[in-house]
Amino acid sequence: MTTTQPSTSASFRLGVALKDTGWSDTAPASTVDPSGWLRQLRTAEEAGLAFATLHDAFRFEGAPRLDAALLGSWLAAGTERIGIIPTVTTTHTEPFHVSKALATLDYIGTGRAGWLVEVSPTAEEAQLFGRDRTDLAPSTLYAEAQEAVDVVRRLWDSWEDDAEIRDASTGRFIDREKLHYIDYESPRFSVKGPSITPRPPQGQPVVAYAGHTPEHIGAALDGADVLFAAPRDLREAEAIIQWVRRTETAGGSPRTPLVVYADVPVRLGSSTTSSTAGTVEDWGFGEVLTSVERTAERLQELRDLGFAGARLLPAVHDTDLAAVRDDLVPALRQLGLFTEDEPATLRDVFGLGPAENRYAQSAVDTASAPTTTGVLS
Amino acid sequence: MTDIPQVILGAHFPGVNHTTVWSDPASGSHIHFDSFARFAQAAERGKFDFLFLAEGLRLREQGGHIHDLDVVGRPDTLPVLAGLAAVTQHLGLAGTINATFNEPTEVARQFATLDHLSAGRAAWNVVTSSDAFTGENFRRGGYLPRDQRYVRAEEFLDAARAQWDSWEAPAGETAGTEPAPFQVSSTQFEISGQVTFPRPPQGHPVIFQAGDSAAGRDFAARNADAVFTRHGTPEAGRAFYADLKSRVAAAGRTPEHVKVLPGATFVVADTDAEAVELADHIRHQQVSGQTALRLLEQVWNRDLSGYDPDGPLPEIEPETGETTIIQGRARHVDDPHEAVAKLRRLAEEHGYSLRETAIASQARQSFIGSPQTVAHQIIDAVATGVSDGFILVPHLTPSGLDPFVDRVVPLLQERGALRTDYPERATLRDLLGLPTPITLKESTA
Ligand SMILES: Cc1cc2nc3c(=O)[nH]c(=O)nc-3n(C[C@H](O)[C@H](O)[C@H](O)COP(=O)(O)O)c2cc1C
Repeated sequence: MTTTQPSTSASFRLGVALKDTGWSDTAPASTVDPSGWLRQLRTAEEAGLAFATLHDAFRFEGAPRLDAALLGSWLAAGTERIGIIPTVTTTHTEPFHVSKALATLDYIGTGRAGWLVEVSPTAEEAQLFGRDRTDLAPSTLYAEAQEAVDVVRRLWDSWEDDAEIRDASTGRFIDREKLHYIDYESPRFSVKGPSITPRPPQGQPVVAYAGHTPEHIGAALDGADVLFAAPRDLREAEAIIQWVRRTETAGGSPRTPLVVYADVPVRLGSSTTSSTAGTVEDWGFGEVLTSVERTAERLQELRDLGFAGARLLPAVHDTDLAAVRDDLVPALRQLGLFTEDEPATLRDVFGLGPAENRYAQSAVDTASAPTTTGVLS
Repeated sequence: MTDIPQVILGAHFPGVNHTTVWSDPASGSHIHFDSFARFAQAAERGKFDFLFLAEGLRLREQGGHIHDLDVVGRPDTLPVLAGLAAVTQHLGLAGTINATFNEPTEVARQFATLDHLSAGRAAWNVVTSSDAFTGENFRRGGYLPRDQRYVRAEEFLDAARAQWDSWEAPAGETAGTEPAPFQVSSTQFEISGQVTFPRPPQGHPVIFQAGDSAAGRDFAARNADAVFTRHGTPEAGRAFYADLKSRVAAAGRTPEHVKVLPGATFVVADTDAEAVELADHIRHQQVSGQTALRLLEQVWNRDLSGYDPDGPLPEIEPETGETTIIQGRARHVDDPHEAVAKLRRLAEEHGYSLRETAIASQARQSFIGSPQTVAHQIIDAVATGVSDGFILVPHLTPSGLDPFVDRVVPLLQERGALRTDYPERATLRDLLGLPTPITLKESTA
């Protein structure tokens, strides 16, 4: 084990978490108007943000909401650089469907897809699917999510990258030796494979969890690439990072270390910078940052603690994203706190490197060697 | 001159089928989004009504191996359509989604999302194909006995309708309103709750159906806005058309409200003679020696890999037992002995090799000719009760629609059979001339 330290790479990146029209939007624009979403994504892209996560749930949470994977696909076709990470739940969905939806998002965005894994913890959601599902304990739901992630990842690998050969001499479109049954069998899932969708451009789109309960951290360490933690203050931030690294070491897993981002609630938009007193506790966020200076300071501190980046939680998408573009990012640039390169894929954004295919012959050879440090164990 | 009918046109993205030619240098990716965008934009340039995507939830197998001679694999239907909604403005977006291996809450929400993203251009082709082979990809799917597939499909659609109808906010103003609780109780579903989405712009997406059995046709008569059928030749088309429209009337609906749309292929060239020659060339591209063997295996229902495609037909008799050599798609051979005898007569009469016989046994392209000939044939078919229009299936991706759009469409427009521009802000229901959707309130009243 050599990889218990946080990445020493100097990069520190920013993304944004989009939920409806913002967590404290008092005059919400329509959340089902596609043009509003596109405007926000384009502003985020102009700001140089690396990715946007899109919140979703099957239950009605007070605001009208569209399916995030499809909204993300629509947004991917209308943007060029920004990573798109929809929430897709695992409790009531089929891994086979989830796998091809996210692979397709990766095709539409040519390597910009990610997956924010969530569970459906309520009886209300179980009712929407009509299942006599009584065991909604977090330990059960996250164990199931871990399995779903495993199945989805296997399906992504079920085609080797060069399986399409178009060999006119033998009349074969594919080399079927390069397609693989996944033959996944467990009490929860049985999935034969291969996927109907060829391996996506990133091989493995980026998989993330948001949260820092033991279940989140356990599930993320088991099969994800990224964790969005939500520390309420710096002490908690430090504790989370240490906890993740300790658990990683204790697990002795050969995986590359989890990429940990911190959630940072902001209210920078000029029309809403008025009083924020009182909102802090209400939202359970810890400090909401309302000035460019404080935000830059906080980002510096998080970076020093070993966070790979931050996911901004804007109070009001429209005004806050404009302020991030016009005020925050220019300030961070001046401070050398903004990584300027242009990653080719979302995996590059998170420093993940190319994804080995577990079924490819070369990978099978090295995987049997004890020294492997592949991402996909 | 009689009234020129309006021709409905759909554009089927060329797919997983031997009619799609991948060996041609002009054949591009069947997976990359650019291909879909380019194809959709051609259809929109041609003022088509909609683009159509098929779906299959398990890769096809023949003789226990993944079939490797045709295009294999496709991206996921609904994300592709959502992406296309961003790069088109008027074109309807129709997706095939299975009612057996999905859940109504998820599918209702996905089509509502697509309808919102596209400002009312979504259509759902409800299919029921279901077997244990496909079910192996799903944890909860399993599969259904034949006689229950349409029961589930109909209850599935009712469950989706209950959800689409549950949050009707005036003029999209949802502020201060809430989705009404819905409840569905049927043999297949026991579900309740609140949706997250306001009623889709079209009310409900346009509903397509594509099954051919009596149960399938009755399901369509009760529920569908359009039927995608194989019966496109004049005789078979008229028979199907009359049968379906009478079922619609028997179901208490207006026959004009269910559009009959056969799949159709086309070859366009400068002259009729050149088109015939090109059509023959394409048929040879579609059926290589290996593909010929696979096609005949479907008739013989046994392994023919040892035979020479350039030699004579196999002398052995077909296997008539239950085991079928192909999986993941329907088999269309009723009487194998009769089918084999027919092939032998064909080969003998023309002195055909195995491959030539396979090619000759395949249906010819539906429309072959100069632009004038093809335009005339299409208008004539619609004017004489063969169909209400066609879903065109080109053999090339992504450029296959271009000859039709560039050369036939202007003639259809000139003769008044096709719009010259899209109406402002039209939904797909508007384009197809469909009434407001069937709501449960109406149908149970
Ligand atoms: C023209 C046509 C196209 C079809 N396309 C699909 C398809 O893309 N995906 C699918 O799963 N089934 C497809 N089907 C299968 C049918 O929808 C239906 O499930 C199947 O034919 C069995 O129903 P039936 O017994 O009523 O014919 C198609 C059928 C027809 C006639």
